[in-house]
Amino acid sequence: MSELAEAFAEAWRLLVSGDGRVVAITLRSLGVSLAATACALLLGVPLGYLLARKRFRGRTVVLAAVNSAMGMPPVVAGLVVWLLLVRSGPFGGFELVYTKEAMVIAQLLIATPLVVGFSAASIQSLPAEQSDLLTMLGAGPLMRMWLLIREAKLGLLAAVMAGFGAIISEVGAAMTVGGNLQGSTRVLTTAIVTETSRGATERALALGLILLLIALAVSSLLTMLQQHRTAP
Amino acid sequence: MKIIVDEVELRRGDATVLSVPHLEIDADERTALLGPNGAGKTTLLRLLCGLEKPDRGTVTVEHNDDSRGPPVATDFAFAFQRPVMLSGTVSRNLELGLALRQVAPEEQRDRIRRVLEALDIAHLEERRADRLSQGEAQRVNLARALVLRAPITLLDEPLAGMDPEIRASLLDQLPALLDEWSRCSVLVTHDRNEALLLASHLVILVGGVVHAAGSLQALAGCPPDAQAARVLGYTIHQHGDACFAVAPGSWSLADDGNAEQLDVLRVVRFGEQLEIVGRVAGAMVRFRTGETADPPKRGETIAVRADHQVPL
Repeated sequence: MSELAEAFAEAWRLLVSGDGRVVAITLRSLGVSLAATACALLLGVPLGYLLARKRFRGRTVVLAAVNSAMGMPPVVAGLVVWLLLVRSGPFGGFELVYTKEAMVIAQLLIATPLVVGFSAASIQSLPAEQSDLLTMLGAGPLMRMWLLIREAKLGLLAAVMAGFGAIISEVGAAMTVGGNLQGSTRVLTTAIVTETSRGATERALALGLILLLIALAVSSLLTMLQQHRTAP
Repeated sequence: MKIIVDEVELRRGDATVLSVPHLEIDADERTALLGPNGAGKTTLLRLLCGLEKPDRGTVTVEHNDDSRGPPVATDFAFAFQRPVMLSGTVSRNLELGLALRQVAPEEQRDRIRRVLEALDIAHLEERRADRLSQGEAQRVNLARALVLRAPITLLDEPLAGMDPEIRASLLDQLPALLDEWSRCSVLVTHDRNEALLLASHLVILVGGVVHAAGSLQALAGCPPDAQAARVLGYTIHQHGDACFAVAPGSWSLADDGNAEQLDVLRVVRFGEQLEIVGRVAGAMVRFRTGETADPPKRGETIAVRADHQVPL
């Protein structure tokens, strides 16, 4: 019990002292996951919109695929991206493996199905007449998409939360494609694994607390946005 | 301006829901699409503005400068039957269409203020659109279409789902509102009284087929077939081999022998008047008559005659 308390005390010291390495790892973690979330939104929201609104052959199959991909184990996503990016792989020439860019790509692969699934569901639950209404008010296809996405913003915030929450806390993909290289691709989750395995539990705990705080802060912020809907 | 529907057919699965060989809607008139539920009225309205594409045939808009083309959204304003609101305030709901049609901001504000005043809902301007009562939402829905001042305004059951008091007051206001805010309007209704009050032209639809189209005066006085007559409130009844349509309100008690037999189902007293409901040769008939010495009773058979009937 006292060991745990000591670990907490040390973790707290590390946090408030602003340890350089801890700060760097935290910023890297945030940078990679925010970039991947942003890309997943750019890619996933329009895709979700198309799945929600267009009727085409194979739509149900695509939706089923998206829904199952929402539960894809991150380490599998990491493995796929690693196979694609590794030196001998099809995209090996880009020399991306074991870089932050590779981690963004792997996390993008994890977050996109979540964003597509959540945004398709929320756009589909809008009243059917809303799209016709926008058409008749004079909105073209792109403007209509933009306005309907705005109407579905509550569900889209849930998509952001789900996507970001899934990737900031995953370790498998970050480890596989990033390689957990100190000073370049080590992020909060992989650092926790490393510190734990080398017995530095208080450092691991400090990093874990930071991770929890980030997750908490992001979801509180988004929940506040979601619940405090002001008229635009 | 004119909307021309030519050889149009629209299917849902295997069923043909609308079949219109030829129909012209003159944009200088106020037209009502009248018919029972499921007749294809809303579908026709959606076809007119291009929201629905026909499986066969064409819908063409002919402008006053003789240019013709398929319907374009900005030629129209559409008030949908269900008053679906966009997020934000009432004024944002009204602004959006104006902004999309590049109306100058000062004019936007001016029009919004005036249309809300005309509909007695000026106090709702800054209200959140998802916090409106049913009646308020119906009015905002109407305002959102009228404020566009589009060449052609389409109204789908503008008074449906309102409670009777609100409906009556809006029905009183609508003719003047439409005169001021829309050059032309086409409205869908299943209520003949609404159509008679609001429109100068009628298109009578039954089962996806146009049974009559023309001026209200001509059609109301002389419906071309039994279906159209029934929609207009006529009683269809067989007289020997011939079929007649009896105009609403033209039945009265008869005292001569050359009359029809009515089986009385119900007699209701309204002050000095009696309303008699019954059947003549199977057809439901309802009429009012003054006080009589011996008022008919339920279950009796009495003699009645029709003053205005059209042979079919």
